[in-house]
Amino acid sequence: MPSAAVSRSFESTATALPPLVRSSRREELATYDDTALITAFTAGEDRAFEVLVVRYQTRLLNFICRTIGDRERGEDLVQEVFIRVHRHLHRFDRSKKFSTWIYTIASNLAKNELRNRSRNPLVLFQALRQNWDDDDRPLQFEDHNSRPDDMYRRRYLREVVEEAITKLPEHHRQVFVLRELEGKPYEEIAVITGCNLGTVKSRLNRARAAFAEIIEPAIG
Amino acid sequence: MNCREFRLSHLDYTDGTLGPSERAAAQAHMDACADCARFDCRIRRGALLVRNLPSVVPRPGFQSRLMARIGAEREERARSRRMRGRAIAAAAALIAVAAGVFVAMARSEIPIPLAPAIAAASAAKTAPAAARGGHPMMMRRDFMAAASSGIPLWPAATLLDAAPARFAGTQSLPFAPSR
Repeated sequence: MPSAAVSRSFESTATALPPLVRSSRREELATYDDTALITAFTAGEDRAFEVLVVRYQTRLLNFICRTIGDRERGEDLVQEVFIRVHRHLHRFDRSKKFSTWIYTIASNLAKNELRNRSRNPLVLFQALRQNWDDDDRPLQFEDHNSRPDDMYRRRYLREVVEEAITKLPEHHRQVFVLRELEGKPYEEIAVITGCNLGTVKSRLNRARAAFAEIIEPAIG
Repeated sequence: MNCREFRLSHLDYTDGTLGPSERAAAQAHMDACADCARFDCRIRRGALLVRNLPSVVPRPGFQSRLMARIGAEREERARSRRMRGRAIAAAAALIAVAAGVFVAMARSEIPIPLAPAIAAASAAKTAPAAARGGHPMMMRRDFMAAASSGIPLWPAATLLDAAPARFAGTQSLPFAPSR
């Protein structure tokens, strides 16, 4: 793992290098694990933080958007997560797992957002639909080689699934998204949500059953 | 294994973390119970749908907007630190000046003005209070004038009536109350 001293020596020369060399430094940073990136950042290499942003932005966006059911607000919250991380990264305990820390911040912001908004599921669903108009659909879902009716069915299915997630109770939804979408281990979910392991498993069990029941009429 | 036990252990069953005997019991229950078999199928289908949801991607310019916000916050923090530094320096300078003035005055010959400790009694214009029938202290106009200064006079006041009249009107005390 590259040391802080190595990072510093790179930093002193990096700013004088042409763009091609700077981008190869960014590619090199992209191969570092989270702890090495934090070490490089605290040694003065700002690009290390940008690599962390690229690494986590999509995952956090999916987590927060699915949790609060609002894509536009989700982007604001993800930016807020990174701002807080940037503010406190110098004090982060590197013996702990960075992904747990950043997801905990995201989870707390999502919970606060839900607390501050109306809990009416219809309002949340409408916010989700409003933000998911045709221009915003992720391009990878649109397979233009598919038949139009297949595309329609998939689009419909996606909407049904997203709506079903927003209908889950808040404390079930978080656990459900962290496990089923993010693939987080139970121990990490327990730390992120501030619950014990038994509670996490119990909530996930109920969330899965509730989700299956909600989508059953739509998919038969 | 009954239906309730099966559903409670279903998470571990799908995770593959049940022990061999429990796993066999769960499998046997599903073979025998159509409801629980349907339950298992619905749960797995739901999980599959969720895991295959397309990913939400950040809009173009997300990172540049973020770095701009971080840069602005850095500037704001640096500005706050500079202002705090200036405020502390100004306060320190003020304290130093005040301390200097105090020290200079303490060392110099200039008398430091103090409030009068005792108000001088003027010559009695009225007859002794006892002859007039009133309380001696309440009848002394000058006593009242001195008392209005708020300075405790009780010890001195009890001696006023007894003081010889020739002490009144003395000019040695510069802070006699004005008439």
